[in-house]
Amino acid sequence: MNCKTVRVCLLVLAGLIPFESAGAQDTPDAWYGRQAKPKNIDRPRVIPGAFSIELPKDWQFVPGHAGTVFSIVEKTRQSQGGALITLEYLRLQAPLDPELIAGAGEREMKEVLAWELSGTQFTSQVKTGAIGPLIVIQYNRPGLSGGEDHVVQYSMPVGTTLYRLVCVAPAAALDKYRPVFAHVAASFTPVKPSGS
Amino acid sequence: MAKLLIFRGDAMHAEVELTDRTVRLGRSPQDDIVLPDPSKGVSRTHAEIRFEGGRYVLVDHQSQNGIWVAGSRVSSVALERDVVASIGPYRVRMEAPAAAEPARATGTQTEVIPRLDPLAGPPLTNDGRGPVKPAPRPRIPAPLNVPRWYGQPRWWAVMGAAAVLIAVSGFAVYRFAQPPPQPAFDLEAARAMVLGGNCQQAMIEHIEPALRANPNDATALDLRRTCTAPPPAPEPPVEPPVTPPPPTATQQLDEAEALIAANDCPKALEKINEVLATEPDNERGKGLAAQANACITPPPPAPRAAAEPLAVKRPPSEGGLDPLPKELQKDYQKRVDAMRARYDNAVSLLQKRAYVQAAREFEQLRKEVPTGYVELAQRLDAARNGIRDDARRSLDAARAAEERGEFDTAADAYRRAHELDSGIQVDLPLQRMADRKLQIGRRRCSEGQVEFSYGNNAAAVAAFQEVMKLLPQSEPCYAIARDRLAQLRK
Repeated sequence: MNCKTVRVCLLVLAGLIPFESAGAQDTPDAWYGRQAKPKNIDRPRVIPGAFSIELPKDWQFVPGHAGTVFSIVEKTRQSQGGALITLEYLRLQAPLDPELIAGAGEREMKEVLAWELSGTQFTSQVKTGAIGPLIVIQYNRPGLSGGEDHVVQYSMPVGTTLYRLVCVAPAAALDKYRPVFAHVAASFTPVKPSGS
Repeated sequence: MAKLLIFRGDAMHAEVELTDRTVRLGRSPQDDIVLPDPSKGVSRTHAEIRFEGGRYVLVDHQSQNGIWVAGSRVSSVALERDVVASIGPYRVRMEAPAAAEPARATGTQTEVIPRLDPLAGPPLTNDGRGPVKPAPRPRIPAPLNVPRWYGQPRWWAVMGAAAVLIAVSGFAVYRFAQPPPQPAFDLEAARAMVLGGNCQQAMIEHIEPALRANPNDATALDLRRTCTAPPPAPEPPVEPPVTPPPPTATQQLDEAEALIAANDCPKALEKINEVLATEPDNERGKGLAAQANACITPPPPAPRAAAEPLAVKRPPSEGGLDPLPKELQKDYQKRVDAMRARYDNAVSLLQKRAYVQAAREFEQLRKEVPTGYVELAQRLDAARNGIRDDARRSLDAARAAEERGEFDTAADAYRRAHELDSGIQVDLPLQRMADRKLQIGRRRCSEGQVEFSYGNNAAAVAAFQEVMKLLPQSEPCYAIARDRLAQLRK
């Protein structure tokens, strides 16, 4: 083996090392994950006997009724469009086993498609969070101000309750709101039943 | 003397010399004058002739058919000159005048009673049955004292008398030569006789005379037709059964010998055995038995083959077969016909597109018929092509069903295609479908559970029902689907 050959081999090995390191790392999920040091997130809000969640600071909180738990809206000027987060729930007839989450994702997508007739770019993902598997559905829809809104829906089954965290922001400002939505979703923690 | 002449038809039946003795006439052999009559028109003792008052009187003896004179039945009639009396088929009349002297009846019809002097009366007779009667007056003058023919003064008188005698005799001969005078006919009397069953007499006395007088007499013709109609066949007399005496052994052996000669040996043997049963040591019987036994041999086989023609081979293209050794034509024809019927049946199956059955029949036929049999080869090819087409169609149908998710239908069609054409491989498609069934079944099971969780029970039921069709019972989801369905039905 001459020197030239050895040099080529070393170069190839040198090229592979950083590639493998990058593949081995856990890439942070842009749409589901807590921020390490969130500055714009308030302290966790707890719904007794149900769950706790961390919501953006200085946003307008509106308690819900019927199927809506709450809504929280970004405070903006009237001419500017802001972001919105709503938490809904649905009582299930039976708990959704983790292996059924893919089927549940398909069903959630069907429902979204059914009511969002003007929506586009629908995607669905099954993610695994601290609470277990969850479904992330995203799509765009025409906003009231004329621009596109981006919608991210987190469907999180917890026992016989299916929580749907719906986050809406202007598509143009998505980069600003994506970390917020990811943190809020990841902060959703169901309350464990006492004694369990 | 008096002579009674008796006629039957035109023929003279008898002539009888009459005496003063009463003479009985009838059918009975005991009668003095027997009048045979099988038709019984004459009674056994029909009448009698009495000599009364110097004349002969015919008296009816209470006969059945009576005495008829001139068309009238009479109880008695004096046998005067020209009086013809009918007794059945017979007619009687006197030859001489009724006043002739009676002669001693002899009791026989042919005996000639010695002629007496006609001018003298009958001699005093007493036959023990009647009173002594005076002799009648002689009718012929007493014999003359005839002189010598020549030289006698009255020779001419003798000659004259002779001439008279000759004339009288000639007249008498003439009279006899003449047929008896016909009685006057009376058709009414004839009708009565016919009705009384006495046709023969009616014909003789009345009908025939009437027809001679007038051949066109309608009444006479009618009566003749009645009489000439064929009488009903008389019933044969019933003879009492006569039991023949049992044949002797010799007779039986004679018969047996004749039977052997006639080749009827079994029957001969029966007779011989009968004899030997009673006479076991009968040497003749033993010998005949040996002959009969030797004669009884099984009949030679019928020369059937010689009488019936042997089979003539027909070309296979016309449905002919190869004849069997010594096969008769009619048997060969039967075999040919039967084979043709099978072939036609197979063709019919082919036309009905029952290719598999048709091909099976043709294949079987091909083993049994010669090469070139009708269109067997072409038909077999057609059947095979039909099978291949069916197989292809079945394969296409299987694929379509598989695409529709009708896996059971698809599997059946795949298997059918393979059965029809073993060259079609269906293992992979069947495995693929089994996998797909499993996959879809599991997916539907998941969907069913999701729908059940969401509370969409209708969709859940539909999914679970599909699951139970798609998945085997060994699959865990099968039990889930079954339990969920049971739960939802409650």
